[in-house]
Amino acid sequence: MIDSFPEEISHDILSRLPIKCLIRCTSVSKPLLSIIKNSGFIRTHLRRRHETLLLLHSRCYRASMHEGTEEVYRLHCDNPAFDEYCRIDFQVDRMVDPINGRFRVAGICDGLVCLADDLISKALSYIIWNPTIRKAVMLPRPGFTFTTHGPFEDSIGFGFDAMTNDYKVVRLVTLENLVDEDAENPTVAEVYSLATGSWRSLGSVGLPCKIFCTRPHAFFNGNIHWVVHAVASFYFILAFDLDSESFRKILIPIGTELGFNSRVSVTGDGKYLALFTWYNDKNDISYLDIWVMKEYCQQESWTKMITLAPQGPEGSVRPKPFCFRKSGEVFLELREPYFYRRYQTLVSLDPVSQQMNNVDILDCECYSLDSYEESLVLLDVENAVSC
Amino acid sequence: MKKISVRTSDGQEFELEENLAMESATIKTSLDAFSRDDIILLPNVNSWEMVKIIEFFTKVQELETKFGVKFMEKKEGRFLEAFQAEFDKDLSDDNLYCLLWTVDYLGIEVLLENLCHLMAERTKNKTVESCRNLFGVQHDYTPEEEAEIREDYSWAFEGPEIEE
Repeated sequence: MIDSFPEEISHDILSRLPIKCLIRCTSVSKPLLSIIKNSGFIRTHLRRRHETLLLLHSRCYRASMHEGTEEVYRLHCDNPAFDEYCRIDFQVDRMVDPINGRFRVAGICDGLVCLADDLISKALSYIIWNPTIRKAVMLPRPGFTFTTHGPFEDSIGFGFDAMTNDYKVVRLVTLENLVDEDAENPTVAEVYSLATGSWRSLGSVGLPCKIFCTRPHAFFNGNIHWVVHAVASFYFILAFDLDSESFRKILIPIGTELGFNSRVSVTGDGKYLALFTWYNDKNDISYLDIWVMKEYCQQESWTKMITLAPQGPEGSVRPKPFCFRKSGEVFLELREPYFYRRYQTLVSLDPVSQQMNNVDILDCECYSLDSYEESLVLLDVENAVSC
Repeated sequence: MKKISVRTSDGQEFELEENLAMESATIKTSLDAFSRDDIILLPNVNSWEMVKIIEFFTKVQELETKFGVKFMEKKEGRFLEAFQAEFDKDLSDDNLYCLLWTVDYLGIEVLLENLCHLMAERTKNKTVESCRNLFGVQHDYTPEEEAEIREDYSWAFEGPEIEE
């Protein structure tokens, strides 16, 4: 009976169901399987705005402290209590052994997590993983490698191309062995498409710039954004439009000088591109500025939300931002410098009131914290493996 | 308030409040095409369904007043839960199906929202077998095919929330 309903109705009913239930429903009948695995339905389900969660990637002590530590992925509710939603088992060694000891969460989009094995050594190993349905795809080796192009620096971005309904990984590569005119334009790019399962070179980025370390990107407005270093020691934000596959320069706030750790982000409501930057005052004290771009691509519209001075009794703790919360607050890590602390403090900052609240993450060292929503994406990808 | 007359498939006539009638895209289209004094024929709607729809709509108006929720915001959780609490237990699965078809035919968005929510709530924690009964679908998997899905997604088939 349900499969004889008009599509709008069966989609409406099914899109309200939790994912575990939908997976069970795929074994109810073949017509139901085909409704649920349909990419149109997967997007309908995604659009229904289920609970906003947070993906925490951390290192924690095992149940008994004598047993050492373990790498953990957990989902939390994005509420004041930061309640644990569920713990995720990711059997990564079924797929590949990361040469850097662990993967890095490089980006998240529509419930897909892009993992990269590039913390120190460039393994050129990437995985697209959906922790909710426990499926993953290993990417093939990219085109720009040490063997083919010599030494390089690289950085990846991950996003969704709405025109072709395809998830893409974009890799920026700054080649170090170029000479003459080529050396002025050292950055090239390539794009991986989930739909085709392969990398394709985009050639030169076309704007003189350099990537110099693994840099968090931001996917916003159909574009992937990175802070890049312009050849003449300035910085700008490089934006890649996934639809037109073109690069463009977005200028940083007037009068700022970005620092090494500057990074782009997106506000919690998804409405604005944001920028975290540090600057030093004349006493060499570092301040964290959080900027928001009120009108996309309009340099004059950069608005400073807050300037955060160093924290701690001696003013020596530099805050490191993780991400915005749906409420507009910002997750920050406060960690003592020059001293390896096993436990750092995670706080939630309200940029308006400037109030900071501690977030209890149970004595774990937080690698990354990003907003996340559950989805069925990858359910319709035949070569996705269970993990 | 003006009343609009409708006649259901089994010949019964109902007088609907104008504001209820206008929530139905189908009735509204008929009203625009013909005079408001004519009786509108609804050959796809049974009288028991019409009774239910009027009951539903009265409840919706009551909840609107209680929660102060405007029409377009009716996707709010409390609203859906209150509606469910009132009507769920007396509605059989078959009746729910019929009403879903009818409300869709009549184009009454707010009621469709509530009925889809009811249907989803009934499905949520059911086992595969129960879902088959609820949805009225044929079991068209071979045992091997079904076992393959269960093995591939074993985590989805276990859990304390699944009713027997």
